[in-house]
Amino acid sequence: MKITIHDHPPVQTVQQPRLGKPTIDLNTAPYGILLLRLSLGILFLAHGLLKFTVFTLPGTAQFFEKLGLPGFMAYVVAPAEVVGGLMLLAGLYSRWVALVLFPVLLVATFKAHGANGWMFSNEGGGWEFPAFFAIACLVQFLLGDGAYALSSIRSHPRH
Amino acid sequence: MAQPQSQSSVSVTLAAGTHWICTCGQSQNYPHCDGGHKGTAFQPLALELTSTKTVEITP
Repeated sequence: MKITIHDHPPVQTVQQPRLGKPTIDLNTAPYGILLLRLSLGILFLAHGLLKFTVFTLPGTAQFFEKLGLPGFMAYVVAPAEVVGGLMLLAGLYSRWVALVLFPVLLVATFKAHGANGWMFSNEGGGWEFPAFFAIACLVQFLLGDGAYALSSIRSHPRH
Repeated sequence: MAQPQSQSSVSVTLAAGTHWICTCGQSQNYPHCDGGHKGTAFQPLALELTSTKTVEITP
């Protein structure tokens, strides 16, 4: 009597990644995500602080009203940008922070820069930059924290 | 020595766990043991799988 054991094919296909073969280099990808996260964090922090210090909150509210947005949004958006920027830099709930900040950039794309045309070098700045910024936020949401994130240190304590 | 009753070779997909494989050839549920070896010199073979496998059994 002889028994031959083969791997069951369906089990293998279930374990395959969705795209059939690995498309991400797991050795370097976390550092790419880290770069994206730090860039977004610095941008949000800078734009948030700009609203506090240079434009001031009442000034930002006035600007928002000029765009046809409710003025009180300035008091929501500016702190959200500062706190979100810091959380991105620290790597705390990066994907959810990026998802929450995504609508801010949609508004920036369509409301604040939509009328200025596409080119970033146009007067007032065209919408290509905020649009790319918005997509980068979605990408961060899809990617997660990346390397050196505080979240990953908390959830995987070193032994 | 007694020879097992001849059965043709089979290929089955078995889930993880222990399976009793008929060695006497008396089983009505070949390749699974159904206790038909009673009164013969044969004992079923315990096959332990840790994951689903395709198993080819040739008597």
